[in-house]
Amino acid sequence: MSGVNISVYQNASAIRSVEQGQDITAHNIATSSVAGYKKTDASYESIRVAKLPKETLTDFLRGTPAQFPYIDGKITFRQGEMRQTSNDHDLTIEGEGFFEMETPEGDNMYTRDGQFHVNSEGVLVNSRGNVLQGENGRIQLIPSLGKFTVNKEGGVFQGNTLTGRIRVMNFEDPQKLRRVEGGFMAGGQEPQQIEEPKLLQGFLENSNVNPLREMVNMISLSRIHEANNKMIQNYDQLFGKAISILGQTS
Amino acid sequence: MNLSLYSGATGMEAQQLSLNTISNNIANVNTTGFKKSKIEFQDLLYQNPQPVGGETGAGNIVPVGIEMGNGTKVTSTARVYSQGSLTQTERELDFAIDGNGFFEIERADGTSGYSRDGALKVGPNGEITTSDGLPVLNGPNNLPPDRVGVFVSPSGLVSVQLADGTIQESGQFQLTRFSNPSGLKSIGGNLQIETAASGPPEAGNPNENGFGSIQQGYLEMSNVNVVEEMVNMIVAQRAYEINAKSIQTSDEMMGRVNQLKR
Repeated sequence: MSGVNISVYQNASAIRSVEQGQDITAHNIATSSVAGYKKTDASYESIRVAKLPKETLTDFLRGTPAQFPYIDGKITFRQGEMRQTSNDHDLTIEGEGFFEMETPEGDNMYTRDGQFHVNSEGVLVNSRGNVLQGENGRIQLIPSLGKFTVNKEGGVFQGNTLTGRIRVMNFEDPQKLRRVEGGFMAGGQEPQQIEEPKLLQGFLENSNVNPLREMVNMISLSRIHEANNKMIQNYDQLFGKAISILGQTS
Repeated sequence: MNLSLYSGATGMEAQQLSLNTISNNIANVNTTGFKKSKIEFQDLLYQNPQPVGGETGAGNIVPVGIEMGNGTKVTSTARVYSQGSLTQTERELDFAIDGNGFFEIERADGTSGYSRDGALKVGPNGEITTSDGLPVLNGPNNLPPDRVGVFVSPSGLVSVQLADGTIQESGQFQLTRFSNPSGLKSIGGNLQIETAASGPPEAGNPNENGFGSIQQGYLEMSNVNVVEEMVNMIVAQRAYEINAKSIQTSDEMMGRVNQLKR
């Protein structure tokens, strides 16, 4: 049977890929409000199936080798729209790069989410309590100097006093970064500091998820799913017919 | 496949919370000294059916893997301590803090609360209280009944003019600040209390060392921007809708698969 119903398996694996694609789309949509979130773009590729036994290869199949679709996810690092919040604690990186955050476990993680807070010790942190890293470690504010401003190069000033300089890091191949909650882990790559970053204070980078596009994706996924379902049903009917006709003994 | 259902659900839940925050901001648009809340979202952990950098055999590695997320969550609803606009009321016991700092209020249980609402009142013995009758700590002395006027300088110095025309000093307003005012806990009644996240209170004279100044005859309005909240509301509603659509689509897909077997 294997040679004939290979197409059923192809349809089944298409359905599986489409369902994984829907998982990715749903996640993109759910995170469309996460500041600095970079969406995953699903792409579909096909791999040629492992060699089929010779006798099952009909002339027809030889001409069109059996391909199995599978899904691939790629992070899209395109800049999200910038939204003015007029909140001093909101920072945005224009162009490439990531903020470097130190987790409580002492690991470094990288994020484009620039929503910072001042913790009880006067240090700049994010809402998970991860500490923003500057050129000389954490950025310690002095309460008596009042508000802080951040200039384009990442220098943190309170009045005329320079209290630190925020580091903006980049990677040779950001695609190799590993996604974790709230950002990325280096995944074995050495981060490099961007010498002349462009920071904006009072702005937030929106997620780069485009709801319209996700919606269109969803419609097309749904239809592909439907078509593959129909194909399986068709084959099922054909087989049923074949068995009932050829299987008649009298 | 179930993943997408739950991602959609987390998205809807987050938008619901977002709407709650927006509604509270809008409801308090006229609350004196109110600071708006800002909601922050974050993505949830990822599953890697095909991890990036994994071996595919013969020394080849996966260049880009599949990472499937679990949706989103709300990480914080932090208050934004930007200055609200000052409105002139010309009432002598209305005070606005222009800059950093809180009034320290003694709560009914004896602990301290902190407020930026400076619409103060006089109690039966001439003590200064909030609208709820809670005494203001680090404030002026009890006001004498035969006063004709109270003057408070931007640096918090209180002087009282008596009926006979003499002017006497009557104490000094002090303000309290925190390293992380967003870490204070709101308990209603325009009051916030200290938490481990806010850091310890630090008292000081107004207009010194980074403390704000006191403006008599003014009140600080809320820093809620109605237009901004309206726009946020539209965004939240649409995001809610599209999350619902993704759940619907996943449901349809699962339904169809169930119909495969005749």
